[in-house]
Amino acid sequence: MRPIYGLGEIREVVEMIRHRSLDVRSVTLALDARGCASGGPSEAASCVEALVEEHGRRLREAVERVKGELGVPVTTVRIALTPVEHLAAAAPEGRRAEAVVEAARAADRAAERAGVDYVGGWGLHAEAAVGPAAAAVAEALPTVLSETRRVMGFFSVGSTLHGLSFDATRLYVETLLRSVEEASSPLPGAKLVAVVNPAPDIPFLPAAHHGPGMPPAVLHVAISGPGAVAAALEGLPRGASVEQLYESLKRVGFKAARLGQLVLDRVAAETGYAAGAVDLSLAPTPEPGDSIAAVLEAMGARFGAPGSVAALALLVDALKKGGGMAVCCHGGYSGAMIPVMEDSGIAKAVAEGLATMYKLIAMTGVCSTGLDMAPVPGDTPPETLTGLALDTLALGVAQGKLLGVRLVPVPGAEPGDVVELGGLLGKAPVMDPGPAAPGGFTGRRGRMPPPLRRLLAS
Amino acid sequence: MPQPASPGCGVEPRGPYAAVFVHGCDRPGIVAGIAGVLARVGVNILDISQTVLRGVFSMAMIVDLGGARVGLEELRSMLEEEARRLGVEVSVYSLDVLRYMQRP
Repeated sequence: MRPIYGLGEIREVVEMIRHRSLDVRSVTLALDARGCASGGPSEAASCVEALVEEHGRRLREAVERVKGELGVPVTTVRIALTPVEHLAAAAPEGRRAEAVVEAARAADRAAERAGVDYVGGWGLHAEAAVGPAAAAVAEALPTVLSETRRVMGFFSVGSTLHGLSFDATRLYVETLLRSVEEASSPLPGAKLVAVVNPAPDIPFLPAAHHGPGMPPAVLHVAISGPGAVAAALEGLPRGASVEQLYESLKRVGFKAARLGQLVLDRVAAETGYAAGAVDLSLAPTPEPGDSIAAVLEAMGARFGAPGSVAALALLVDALKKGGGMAVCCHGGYSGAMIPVMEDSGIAKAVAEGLATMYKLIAMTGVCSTGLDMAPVPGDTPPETLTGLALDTLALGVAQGKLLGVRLVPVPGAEPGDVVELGGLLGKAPVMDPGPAAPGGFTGRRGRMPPPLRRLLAS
Repeated sequence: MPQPASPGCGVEPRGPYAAVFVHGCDRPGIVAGIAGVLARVGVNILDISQTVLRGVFSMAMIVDLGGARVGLEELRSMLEEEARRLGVEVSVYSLDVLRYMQRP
């Protein structure tokens, strides 16, 4: 009888999953929560609580079954709701922020009971202007992020269609600083992101939410496999050409993405929820070797040293080509995550002075994800933080690409002090935010109008 | 996918199927130990390949759980216990993982 699968093929799969940390980072259920908007803040909160608990239990049970049946690790289970602006808009004037806070507390309780790791959707859209509902969400977020454990939020501050809102970007920074102050901890920084061009199918938090036009309950999957990608490159002969690197990256990107599609298909079949997107992004973990910096090293580059932007561009493009063929529908960011604190190799590059703020921002031009989990001193002037955010997000608007900014102000810290948030959030030295930004530009009211790209595309 | 059995011959493969991979320092009794666990719970081996390279033992099996008295999770924990006794490492995945990743 001919072997159905060769020893080598089986060994490769075992090696990727068991020894090189290829896993599913998250199964995220995006839920339409607009039905919860009627009634007062308490009724809305009860509705959100029931929704998260009911669907959370169903999701958690299905994921546990699928994990057991396949033998594939799934790290987290998440729920992403319709951005809570709709709850704020439906609440009586003067009680809008209260409605947002009450719903967050309710979601937090329900998630804990149901075994859901995180809940997203405490976010707002303010691409062109900050409306009253968005302002209420921003007002509520410091309490939400300091009081709850599992609730996360986002600011959508621009898009290629809208341009880039300076007002909303400043509001993100002000809200972030107020949240850190209220919590007396850097942790809220990890739970809040400013994005442009938000996709409706992001499985990664804090940006995940139920996007417009999507099925009422739809699953999205995030994969995590830098270690497996690095391992694939280690098998190449010394002196392999750029094309050989690219080919190996495409092949391993394909296999990693297929694992995401398998888990998505199985959880969808178990639960009856619609199968949405697989985010092709490589998401690192603090585990040694499960690092984007380690992938660059396996390519012969060094994270932050000259050549590393080109290496990242090569990596991301190859993964998109390989992964794009492997899944029904690619979604979310589909790039390479470079979260400073969550990637031990990037944190090391920061400690060595190789990865500086503007090198990371240069990388966001090709990595398709953004300036992520970058710890900065808690007393960094808001104008400087706004400038860093605008610089990154302008790249996303100009390129027509989803990009995010997640800064982590650390109270009382100086550049070089090590901050640790624990678990997947990892640790890194606090970064030098660079020269102070003059407030004259970042303090201007209004938005940068949509770029020329919009005219070219339509 | 496994082929149907010839008339009057063997057990018809039914599925679900799994891949079992065993890896570690070679010693007598590894195949017997692992196969013994499979036999005890009614898991049929459809395919097996095994090598020893510089003292390192590797074995991959495709098995049929169709007639088994246990599910994949229980089988995995039984095999892990046996692997501990033998001083080797065992991994068990649904064949769907192989099918998706290697033969889309």
